[in-house]
Amino acid sequence: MTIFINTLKRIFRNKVQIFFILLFPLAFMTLGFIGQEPAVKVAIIDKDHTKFTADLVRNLKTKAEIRNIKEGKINDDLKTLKVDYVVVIEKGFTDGLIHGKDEGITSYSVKESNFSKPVSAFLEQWLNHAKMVAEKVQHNPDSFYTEFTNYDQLGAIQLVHKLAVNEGAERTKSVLGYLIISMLYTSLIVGLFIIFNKNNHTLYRTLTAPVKIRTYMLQITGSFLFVSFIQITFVLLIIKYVYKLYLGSAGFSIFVLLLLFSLVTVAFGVAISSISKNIIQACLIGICLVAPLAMLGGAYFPLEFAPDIIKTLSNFTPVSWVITGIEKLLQGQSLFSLGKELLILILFAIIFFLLGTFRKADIAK
Amino acid sequence: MLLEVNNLIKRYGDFLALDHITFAINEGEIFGLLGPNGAGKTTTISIISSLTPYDGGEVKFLGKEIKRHEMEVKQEFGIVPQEIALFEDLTAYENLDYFGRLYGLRGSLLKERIAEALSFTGLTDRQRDRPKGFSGGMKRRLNIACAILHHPKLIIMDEPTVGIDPQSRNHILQSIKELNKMGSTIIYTSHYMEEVEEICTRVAIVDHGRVIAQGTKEELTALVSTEEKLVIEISSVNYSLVEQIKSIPSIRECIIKGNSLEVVGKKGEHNVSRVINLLAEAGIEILSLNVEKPSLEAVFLTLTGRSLRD
Repeated sequence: MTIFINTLKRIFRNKVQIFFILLFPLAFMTLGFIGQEPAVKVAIIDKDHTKFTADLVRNLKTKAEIRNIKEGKINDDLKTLKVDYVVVIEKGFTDGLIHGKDEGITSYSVKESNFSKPVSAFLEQWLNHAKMVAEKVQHNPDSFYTEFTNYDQLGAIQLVHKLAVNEGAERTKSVLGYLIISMLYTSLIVGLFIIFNKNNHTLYRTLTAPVKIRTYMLQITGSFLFVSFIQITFVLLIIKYVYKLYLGSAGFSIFVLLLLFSLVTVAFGVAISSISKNIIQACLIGICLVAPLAMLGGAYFPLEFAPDIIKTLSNFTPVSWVITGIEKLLQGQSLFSLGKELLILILFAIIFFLLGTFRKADIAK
Repeated sequence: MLLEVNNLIKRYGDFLALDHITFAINEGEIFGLLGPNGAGKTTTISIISSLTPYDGGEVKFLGKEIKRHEMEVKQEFGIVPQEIALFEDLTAYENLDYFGRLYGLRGSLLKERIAEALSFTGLTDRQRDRPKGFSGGMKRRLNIACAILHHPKLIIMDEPTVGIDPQSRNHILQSIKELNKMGSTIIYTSHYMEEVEEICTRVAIVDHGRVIAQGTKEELTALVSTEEKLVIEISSVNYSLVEQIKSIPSIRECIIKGNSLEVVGKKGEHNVSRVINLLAEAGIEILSLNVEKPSLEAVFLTLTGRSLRD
């Protein structure tokens, strides 16, 4: 345990390292907030003015930013991005809907954009509910409003709750993505630390004592895993109690998953130390590898709309698997259901660790 | 025999770094490995320290092959690397504490040994300071302190005086003699022949990965020289005396240099007493007398055709 304790002592004696380990992830994670998509700008031209359409507008206000535009300028306003989505409700729409007619409402958006999809999905869901209610009350307008109010209250509560969970989970995923990137950058400290010990010859001297290279690497790795444990605990506590981000019931599982990922990042640092001859080289190699790993893995932005080739390549990065794991945990799956993700992360850790230690036959060199 | 190195071979690709190096070290010796930079001294040390694999031959410590008993053997070694190997962000005390623990020292014994090593190297007053602020000589001394904490049977010093001032060098050389008196066997590598001459009981001269000669200093110088040189400072110079000295059969040359006579003659022919008798008979007072013997530098020059610092 001598090397383990000595390493911890040296890490926490260095203020720059403490900043990099504890405060850098927090600062970096704020990008996860900044990176949130802005609210969708929706214009509603309501010519019907019924209680039903008023309800629809009220509910849409909770999902989007409502803008006023003139009907004649819909195309221009969409082109200039003044609005992202326009709904035109014709006079008699509510009556028609109650009587089973599927007309009187038109929506406009830019064809290539997916930005307004959540609003259109919401609108579609809302109308489907209304049609179901109308059918249930056998197209009786009086019964429709009574039944719809009940249904609306029940449905809206469910809907709002579901959306809130998704939005929260998305934000959490995005913020944790930035934590993962900062964990990768922090892992470079491991590589630099080992190279520094090579350069100041303490590695050489340590190994002239009755210490095996594997023991040395394991203790160094262990000390950095302990540092990761502190880092992840600290950051998740901040996420939960200061940022108040949604973790659902997955808080502990995410903690365990990130701890497993730290095994990968520390081994990654060990591998960097092995392929670098000096500190500058390690920094350059590290930075050049971390950025694509994080991007390909989906830590900077989701890969849902990325080309297939990128999606395939992302499978070869550990980041992709930890992000998938987090996604699944936030969707309510248990840690035990992440067998594939956990196994692949362990494999990445083993590969990186072997890469970092197999070239150590001639220690004196 | 404490350490035996037999026919050690080490290759780096096509380059033969060690070519059947063979030597043996007895307990209580200060054994010098003398050779120019790149001769193979550090490679030999790295192999003995189990840090570098080798391609042939064997290394035995107290009869045990080091490959098979690596950890056991390492426990008995104290290595002073050529470069300063210290944590600059830890204090002198913390450095000693770390390296002491690696050799299994704990508790009061560790504290005792740290105090002893600090006192031995004259660093007790600076134990709470970080080596960052130390002079080169002090760092070298701390470098040595870290290697002697666990009272090793064999201390291996790889050029421990490189780049330091003469005062610190003397301090280190005295310390090595003291360690030897206290019972440690020492391997001392250097390309400074004066140091090796001063402290080593036996020497192996290494060049191009081979031991080209080994033995005591006297044995080595005997290899290359059958003559000795007397330098005599006298009260007055008498030219007829020079001819008389030259007439001694074993004397080859006698020249006057200022107030001194330089007399070169065959070794083992009682030249000193014969010359002293002649001077006494002539009533010339001897102010000083020095017998100069061939140096290891001369041995190296003769054996390799080049100087140690070439």
